[in-house]
Amino acid sequence: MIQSERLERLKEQDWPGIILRLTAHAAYKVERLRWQTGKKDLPRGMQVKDLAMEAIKMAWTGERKWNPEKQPDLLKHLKSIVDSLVSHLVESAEHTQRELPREELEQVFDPPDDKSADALDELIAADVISKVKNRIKGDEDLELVLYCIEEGLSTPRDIAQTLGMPVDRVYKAKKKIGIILKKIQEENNG
Amino acid sequence: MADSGKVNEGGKDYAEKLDRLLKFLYDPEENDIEAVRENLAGYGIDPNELVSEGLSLVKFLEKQERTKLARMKRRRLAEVFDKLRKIDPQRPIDEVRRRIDEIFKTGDGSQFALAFFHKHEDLSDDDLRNLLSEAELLKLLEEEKKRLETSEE
Repeated sequence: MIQSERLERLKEQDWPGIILRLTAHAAYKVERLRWQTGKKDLPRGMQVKDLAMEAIKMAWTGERKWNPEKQPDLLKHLKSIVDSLVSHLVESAEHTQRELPREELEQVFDPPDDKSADALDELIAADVISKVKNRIKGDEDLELVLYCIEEGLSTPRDIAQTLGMPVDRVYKAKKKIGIILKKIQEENNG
Repeated sequence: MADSGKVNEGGKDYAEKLDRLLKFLYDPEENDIEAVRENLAGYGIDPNELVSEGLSLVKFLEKQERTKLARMKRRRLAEVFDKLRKIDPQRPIDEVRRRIDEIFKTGDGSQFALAFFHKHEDLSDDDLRNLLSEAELLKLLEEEKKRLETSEE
């Protein structure tokens, strides 16, 4: 596709919708990054929206050229750029230091000095899931929703359908779990 | 540690579960734009300001890229024009014939090229010179078109 056609295709996109959805995706990715790294802020004073804007810039300038014939959905292309940007942040020097105590690792893994990133992610995740489970004990809706998530579902609509539960009840459970998770995050970050 | 007691060594069970939990909590369903807006507000991002900032950026980028494209096209057209100016209309007729042969023999075998290739020997010197001017122009434009298509893929 020649450049003038590409520019025309870019121009005709639903930009307000793309900007909102792409930034929401970046926020989710950064939230995930925070859990992986224990860091509260993005490096170099970056904000979530900067990731979305950078991706948009890369698509327009051709630094990450959009090919509508291969990927007709521009939002998907932009999301993949955001994902790469976040991956670079994970790899950046400011995020290479992990903060979990070494002795905690040694209790779980054999050999005791196995410090692979995957193993560490698994350890942190197991700890978080365990804490969430303990705190939602007795609240049936929350327990059911978490069970569905553990079983592979991740959207409120899918969970509501699987449980035969009204979707607004799933959203209520979502809110409660969100508050619990935030508290756990605060505690973990001291 | 985990209430299940054991972490799946080498596996990613819990990491994947946490991923899904975070996706459930923080990744809004995209077809519900109001949910997306609320989600962003939850992060302290004003959706209206965000859209306004994003649209300004898009407008700026569109202008910048169109200007770049226009400059590139102008430069290339100037190159074509420059090549055309260097063609000498009064060159000796033998040279005109040789050049016509060259252009039509190395052409893409189009009906146009073949038709003229077979006829040009019957033409007068002036007609041959005119034919060459047009053939040179077509050849340059054709080359330019190919260059544009391949360089921008």
